Amino acid sequence: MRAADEDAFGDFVRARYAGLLRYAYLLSADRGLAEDLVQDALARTYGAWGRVGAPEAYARTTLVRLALRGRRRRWRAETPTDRPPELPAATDDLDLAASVRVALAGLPVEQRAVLVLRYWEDRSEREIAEALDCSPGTVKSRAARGLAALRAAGLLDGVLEGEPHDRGA
Amino acid sequence: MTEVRELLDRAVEEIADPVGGPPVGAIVAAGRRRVRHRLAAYSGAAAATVAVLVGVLAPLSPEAVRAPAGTPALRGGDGGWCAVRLDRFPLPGRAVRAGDGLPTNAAADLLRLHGWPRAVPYDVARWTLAADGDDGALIAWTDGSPYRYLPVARRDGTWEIVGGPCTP
Repeated sequence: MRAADEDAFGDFVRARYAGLLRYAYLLSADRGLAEDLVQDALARTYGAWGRVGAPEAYARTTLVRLALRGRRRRWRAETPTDRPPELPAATDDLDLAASVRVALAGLPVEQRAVLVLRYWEDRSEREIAEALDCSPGTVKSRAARGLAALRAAGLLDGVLEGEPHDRGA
Repeated sequence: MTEVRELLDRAVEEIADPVGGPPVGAIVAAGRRRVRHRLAAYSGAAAATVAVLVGVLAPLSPEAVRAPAGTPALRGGDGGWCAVRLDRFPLPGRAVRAGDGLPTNAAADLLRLHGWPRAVPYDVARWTLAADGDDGALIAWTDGSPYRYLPVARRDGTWEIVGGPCTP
């Protein structure tokens, strides 16, 4: 890569790293794994720099694929826990945030990915199906299961009644 | 729907920007390593191309197209081995078609014919299998694209994928 391109890539990393890290955290429900995913995805983006017109979209798509692949490889080096080493002060806001994180961590990665792509990225079911290489019907069922899990955790009581409607299908 | 978005926003509130900024240097170094590995894989692809030509042009006897002992193995993008040795190519250049079983589905995955980016139509994609006994590599390519490899192994007469792609 030429020096100018490498500078541009560095600027891209500095500008997008935090957003990608949050995205990866939602996909993985693990801060350390999220950092690994982002760095891996950005290293792959480096290799594709100049060939892709939308590097952030490329990096995000790569993140999703890496997160799903990580599930298939069954990472066993660390044991996940819902008990952080330093418990935050018990306020309602922090309790809610912790509850959401625990609920997300309890979902299979496929369901978590659908929820993140559907509600955080605001992608249509068709777009999600293409990104995850599955059918729109599978996207619907995963979204329904994921939402049901959030409801069961008391996070969506009475808020959502139906399935997410599809913008693109 | 907005409520779900708000819940997700709440979940990432604690993900603060890294102290000292993102690890740009480490990421660039990792990117350089990946590019170097990919170039090494291209060298393997050149060897595979020669072997494919030998396999196509040689007499029909499979023994006649065996690569000489010591043919360089294909090194994967993550430093693993794709195949021990390129011996013969019983299926040179078959077309990739949608929904046609493991080889073509895997080849389509390798070439990202579905999903992002989807600029490559199926009908220009080809695949072949480089086998050494029960070990081998599925090789997929399109005109003008680099070769992509997937380690496979034969178990009970059926080929199975046994590792990640060498040129992801």
